[in-house]
Amino acid sequence: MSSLILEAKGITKRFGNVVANDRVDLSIREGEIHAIIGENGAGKSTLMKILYGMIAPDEGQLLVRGKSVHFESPLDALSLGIGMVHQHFMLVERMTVLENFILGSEPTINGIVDEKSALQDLKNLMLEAHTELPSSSLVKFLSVGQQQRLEILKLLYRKSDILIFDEPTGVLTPQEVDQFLKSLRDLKARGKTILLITHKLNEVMAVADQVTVMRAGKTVSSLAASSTDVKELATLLVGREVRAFDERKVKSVKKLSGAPVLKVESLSGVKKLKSVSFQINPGEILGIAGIEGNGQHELVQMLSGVKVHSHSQGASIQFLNMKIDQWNVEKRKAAGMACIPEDRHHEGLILDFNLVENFYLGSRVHFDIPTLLPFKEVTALVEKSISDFEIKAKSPFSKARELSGGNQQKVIVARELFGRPKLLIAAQPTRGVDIGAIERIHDELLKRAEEGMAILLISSELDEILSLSDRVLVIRNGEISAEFSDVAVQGPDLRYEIGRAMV
Amino acid sequence: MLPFKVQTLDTKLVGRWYERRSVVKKIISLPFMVTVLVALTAGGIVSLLADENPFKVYSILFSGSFGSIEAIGYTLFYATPFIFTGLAVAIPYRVGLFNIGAEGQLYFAAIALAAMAFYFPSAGIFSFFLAIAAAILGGALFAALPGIFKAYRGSHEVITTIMLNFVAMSLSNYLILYAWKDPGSQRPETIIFSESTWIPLLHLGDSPLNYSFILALISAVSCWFFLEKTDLGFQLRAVGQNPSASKVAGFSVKKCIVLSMMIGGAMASGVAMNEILGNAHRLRDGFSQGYGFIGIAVAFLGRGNPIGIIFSAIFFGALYRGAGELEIETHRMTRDFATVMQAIFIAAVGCEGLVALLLNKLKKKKGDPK
Amino acid sequence: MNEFHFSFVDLLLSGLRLSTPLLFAALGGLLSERAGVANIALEGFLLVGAFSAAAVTYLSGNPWIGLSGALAAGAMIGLIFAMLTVYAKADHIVMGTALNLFVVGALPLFNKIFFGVTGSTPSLELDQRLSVWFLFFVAVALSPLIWFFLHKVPFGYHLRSSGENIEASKSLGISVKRTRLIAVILAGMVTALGGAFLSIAHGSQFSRGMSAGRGFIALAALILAGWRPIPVILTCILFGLADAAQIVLQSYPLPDGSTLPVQWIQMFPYIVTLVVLVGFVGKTEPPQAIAKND
Repeated sequence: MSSLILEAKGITKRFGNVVANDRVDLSIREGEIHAIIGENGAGKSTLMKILYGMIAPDEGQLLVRGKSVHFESPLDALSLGIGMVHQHFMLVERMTVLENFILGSEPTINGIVDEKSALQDLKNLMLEAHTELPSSSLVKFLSVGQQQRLEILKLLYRKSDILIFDEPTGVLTPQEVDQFLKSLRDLKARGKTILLITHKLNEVMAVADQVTVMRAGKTVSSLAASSTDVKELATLLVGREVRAFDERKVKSVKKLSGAPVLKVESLSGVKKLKSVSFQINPGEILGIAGIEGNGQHELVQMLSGVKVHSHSQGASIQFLNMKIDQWNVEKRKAAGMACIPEDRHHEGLILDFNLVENFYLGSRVHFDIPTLLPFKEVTALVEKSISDFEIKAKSPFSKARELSGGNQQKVIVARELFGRPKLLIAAQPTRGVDIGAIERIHDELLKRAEEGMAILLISSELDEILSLSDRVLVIRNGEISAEFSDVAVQGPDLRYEIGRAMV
Repeated sequence: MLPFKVQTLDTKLVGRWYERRSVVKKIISLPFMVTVLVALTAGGIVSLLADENPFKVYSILFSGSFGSIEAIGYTLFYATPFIFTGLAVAIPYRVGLFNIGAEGQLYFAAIALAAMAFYFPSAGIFSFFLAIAAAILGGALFAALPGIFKAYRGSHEVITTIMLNFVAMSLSNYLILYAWKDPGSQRPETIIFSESTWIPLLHLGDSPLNYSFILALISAVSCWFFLEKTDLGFQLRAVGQNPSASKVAGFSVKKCIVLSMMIGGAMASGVAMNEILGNAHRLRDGFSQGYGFIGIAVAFLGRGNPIGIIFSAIFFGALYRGAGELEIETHRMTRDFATVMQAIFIAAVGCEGLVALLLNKLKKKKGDPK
Repeated sequence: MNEFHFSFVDLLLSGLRLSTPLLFAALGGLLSERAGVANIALEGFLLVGAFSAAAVTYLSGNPWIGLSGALAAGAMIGLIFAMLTVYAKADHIVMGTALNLFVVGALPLFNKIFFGVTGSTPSLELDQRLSVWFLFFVAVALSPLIWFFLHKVPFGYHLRSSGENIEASKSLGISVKRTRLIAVILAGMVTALGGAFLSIAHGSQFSRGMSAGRGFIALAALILAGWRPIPVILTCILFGLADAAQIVLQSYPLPDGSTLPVQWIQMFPYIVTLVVLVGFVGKTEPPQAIAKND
């Protein structure tokens, strides 16, 4: 057993009345890959920010290589060899790769930046890490995977030997995830210690030596990865048995009848989408699988009416036998379409508006269009949604910002389902949401589908697609690359076939 | 059904109470009081620098602005353009636009108004309404330009409105000096317009306070009602807070941008009515003493809330009026002191967050047994 | 007036001269905005520079001391603006407005305290004034210097990163606040040189409102140049030329003997800017963390 390189003892951090970290203990051994898992709001991020010196704990002690330390700023952590790759990359988009590489630790000759030696260092490190980045290109032109590699290079340049990764794979494609996990093993082989914060249990099992589980601000347990499995970790995570993603509730093929709700023919977008055709029947859940950024966003925008397609040959969108190509968002909504947008903070909610206003925002067309705001009516509806969906909110007048991610998402789901739509476009409906809320939202979707609502489910989580869909389309480079029907009765091979169609 | 209804009623009441309390609390909070005190102290230091007794300065300021019926009349007369320009800045601001162009808009409104009064002087009451309508339309259309530039070309409104300010001012200057010049006057001004276009006085002492003030109040209340209680106002606020979510909800961001600018421009036109139809009865060069820019400060001090703007405009009006008295009654203080005080107040209120933070720290230290 | 000969060279020279204060102000604005502090207080910075240069030159009799006075006063006003925006975390635009108002009101008060009148400082002798061309070349030389400073000096790296991404800068141990403080102080000094140009080189005294909106025009030039130090020379000269054209054309007789109304010419540069901005440039991309507080 190697020695302990980083320890946290009894760390407590409060934000107002919320205890984000409650007497947290953590021991990291030198040279191991240590995963820290927990649901959203379990306190992982707070703990990492404390370890990296971004915020100071209210109580408790940090030890680096056995010595008690006190961080004033990330600079102190950096100087002790602790580096961090943040969930949102800490890169300056409009500076070059080289500039970002040395930013904050620029080598100088007579006060002037020594670009030559910096470039040499960058090249050497790229060689060691088997990666290649264009040194003079602006960071905004790099892919997400390249940006992440630049972040790692930055840490290596700063001679960090304890590397903290905060949710590193959320934004990567499956190939990039593989490459990333491989580079973690490389780093370990070079003697680096790695802290991996994640909620993806498969990845934990793939690379971690040790796993620490956090729940509600506390460390629940810490165990060797070799002595546990995904199921045990999931149970520790939530504190109770959970239904695993790949266990379907509905295991039979649905009998579908009636005219198709939505019929899309050779739809092309401006950016990614190329001649996409499909149709959905009443009560059907059609999953669109695929790596993010392959045209899903544009598809959602064009179906919901945020973007109206230019007249390309043969393209048409038919909804309940009406040609709706040129309809705007409101007209489509009034006709019975609803949409859970992909990014709830950016597209779904107005964080500084209260719940009543946010409810009205998306359900406006269902009131006889008012010159005056019908807030009395909406308030009653929000009240009802709060109790129906078990939304944790102080009052209908709470600001959306004050709610947790899962509760925010429930508000959106309640709002979009309020008008009893015939078709729901659900884009990443459970992204970044805790397991309880995922279950609640999935149950609601299944129930509505049983009642005859058609659902277009767009998700980058293959598990989610597999556990809900009746039929699956795979989207790649803006085109439908494969179709799989009768998902409910397919064997486990389906996952791999879909995965193959994605790349 | 019954329990559900009762529950709704309760939370609704609680919710309303909570909302109202928070507004009142925001305005008369401890940090705010401290901030005002700091600003007054800073102003006092400036008067000490000018070798004047600050208490004397403040008492002249106060009695000059509120000391008599006539003084109040003047204060409210000065407050009138500030209400209008405060709104002209605040409404676009709610959509996320920074309208530095109120000055240009009020000039353009004045041009439109004067054109009507100049060319159609003898249509009785009709002339009056024609002039008013022209002013509103002129202000709104002139403000629509930067809105359209922003919505359809992405041009930054700060730059385009600054440019348009210069254009409108030069244009009005040209018209006054060449086309509409009063040949009998030595000063750069047009002839006196027909009496049928005059806005009647409110007769508060001998002050020029006229019905434009009432119009300003009505405008402010209407703006508040529009933003908070109507569907269109909701759309404007939504776009200001989150344009992409508004798009997903089906609102037209472009429409809201242009509309908010047009409302702002229409509000700015009130200054032209007050100054031309209510007071001078002619278009004078430089009739606006930077009212459009002071509108930024008024809007800010009123926290972008139309009702708050009424109060902050009256405060600015009082400073204006009081400063005039200062010039007469002290040796070294001039009108400029009012400008300095405005600046100090804006800066102080802008830093209210800091004051609140410091107060909080102080409270914590006191509360901490250690 | 009939003997007046329209000379293109005169127009050009006059345009270059008049671009000097714009260039100083635009470069000051660049330092401030690239560091993330939105600066509509340039107008106030200019006035402070103009007043202090004229006042100190008059009192000392030496324009170089006056120029140093302008630099010191510029640093001071920059410090105040930075304290309000960076440390008190107030809204940059609102504070810029407040600062402009303050300067407009306070300078006449100071003038009255020092010189007994509110209008202007006493006139300077010819030998107490600086060469217009000297300051023009300083301004032009400053542009590549600032480019070098931004791209080749560690502090320049930090300045740009503070204006682009606060979180990233902080995560690398860069103090965004301190960086911005220094940037805005430098901005105040550079802009004050533009003010000094107006009062002790181009003119011979400080007078009320002598900046005449140049701070705002400089801002427009800066935006038109995409916040880049070399192109900003060109956009400032463009505005300088437009300014000169209005002065020259005012007295240039039309074929029928009359002159063009001055107001039409005055409008000209602004309309040109609008056409360029709306017609050709469209959306400009400001530093991404501009007006955001740490």
